[in-house]
Amino acid sequence: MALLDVKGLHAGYGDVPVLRGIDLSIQAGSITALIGANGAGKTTLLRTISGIIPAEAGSIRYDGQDILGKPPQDIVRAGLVQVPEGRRLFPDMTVFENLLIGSSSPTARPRRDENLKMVFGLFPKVRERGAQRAGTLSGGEQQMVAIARALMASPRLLLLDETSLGLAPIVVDEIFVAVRRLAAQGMTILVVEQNTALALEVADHGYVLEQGHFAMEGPASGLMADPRVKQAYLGI
Amino acid sequence: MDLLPLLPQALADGLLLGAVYAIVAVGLTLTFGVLRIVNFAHGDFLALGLYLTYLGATWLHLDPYLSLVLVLPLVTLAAAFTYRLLIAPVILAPEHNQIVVTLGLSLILQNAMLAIFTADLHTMPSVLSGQIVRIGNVFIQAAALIASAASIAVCLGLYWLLRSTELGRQIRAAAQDRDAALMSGVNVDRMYLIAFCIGIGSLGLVAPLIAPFNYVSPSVGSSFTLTAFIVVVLGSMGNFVGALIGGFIIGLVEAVGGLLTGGSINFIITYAIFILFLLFRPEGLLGGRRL
Repeated sequence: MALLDVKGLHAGYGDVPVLRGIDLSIQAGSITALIGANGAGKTTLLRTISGIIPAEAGSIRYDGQDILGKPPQDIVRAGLVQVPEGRRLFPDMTVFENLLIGSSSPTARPRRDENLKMVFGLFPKVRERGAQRAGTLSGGEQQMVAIARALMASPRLLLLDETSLGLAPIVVDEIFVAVRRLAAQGMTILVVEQNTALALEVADHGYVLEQGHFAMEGPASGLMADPRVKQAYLGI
Repeated sequence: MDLLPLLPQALADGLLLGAVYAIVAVGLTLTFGVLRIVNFAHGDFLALGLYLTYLGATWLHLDPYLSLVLVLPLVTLAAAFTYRLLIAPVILAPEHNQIVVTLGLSLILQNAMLAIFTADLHTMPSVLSGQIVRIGNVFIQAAALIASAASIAVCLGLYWLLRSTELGRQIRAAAQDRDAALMSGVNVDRMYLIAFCIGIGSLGLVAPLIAPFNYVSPSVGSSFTLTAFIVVVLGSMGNFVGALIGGFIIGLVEAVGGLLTGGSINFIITYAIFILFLLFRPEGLLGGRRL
């Protein structure tokens, strides 16, 4: 069953259309990769799904419910949580306060202690940095805190926007080990990446976004072997 | 003339004045720090509070201190309506659009008060008016002491609220990164509403407290708005502690400046400081925003 079902989605900024007819289906329990060049509309799609920007046309169904037009906090409450591009931590708060903000929604609040334990188990570094101001962390640590903050909301569908961007390969490995662990526990994950090889390697299914619509989709292994993907995105 | 013996009195006056400036500026800096809205109508809500206090005194024969129970909720309610009807629709609009809205609101409020209450000055005497507390050679109005103490208490209370409560943390999150707060499940719109109501509601608390030793006229708000802006720029826009410190600095400058210049041109000193800050340290004393 599709946990997220996007149909005919059009969205953009003001008069500038960015998404032109997006159809996206994410199966529960899977990892889906969304790849595409800079400016293809990946972040716009995620921001529309999260309710940050409005759509002009189309529908977004999550867990059988129409979520298009719902306020962002209701979408988070339903378990659809995004880790934004560029981490976007609250820089003047401590790491621990950032995590607490992650469990702001009324459904996540009662599970705060349980979720804290879970994210500290997943990222021991986050616990070590608990009292530090988030703005003073390294990029990799900030990314871990950003994911941990999203996990505090008890997501069923986790959207990861450009998680690997600007991070050292060893840190990327560490983070994606954690992502795989979350998936193994049954969490549904959408990985949006410019790092195509990484995204297709970790994912079950993939979509290629080009100029506001999907140019290709299919099993990740199939896309990885596709000559067009190889040439345009993998540089092989 | 030897001014030194008068200095303790001027310092006391400055601190009393500064505390009131601080709470007015804290409200302004809170709305700016959280909503990113420059509210030129801020002081006019203080005038509204003063007129409500005046109405309480003339219609219901309420002492200003008693009218607090009416003025505080009414001003807060006015803030809530203002947010919903005027501020929320332009919250994502360009800055100059927002400024037109708050400046327009200020003009509307001032002229409405002018139409209803005329330009006459009104006083609102209290049982405490004229009561003097003497400490050595320093004479302090009891009402001013109460207003200052309450202002400081409210500032500290708000600081605690922002720093140490779940609500305060969510308000700070909305202030620091709107989108990230939305993605974390924070109801940003509600945080904006609450911050706006607190920022303006504190004026509804201050108005009855300063009423016994102040007058009210339709334009009294704009002088408070101006002073609050100077304080807020001095202490760094959006910086809570900065507004507190800035309030006391401007209060002291006005009182001591009044002593040195005989009171006639002491505002020149305040504005000179303001201009010097804008020229040489526009980020203010503390710099950055730390909400």
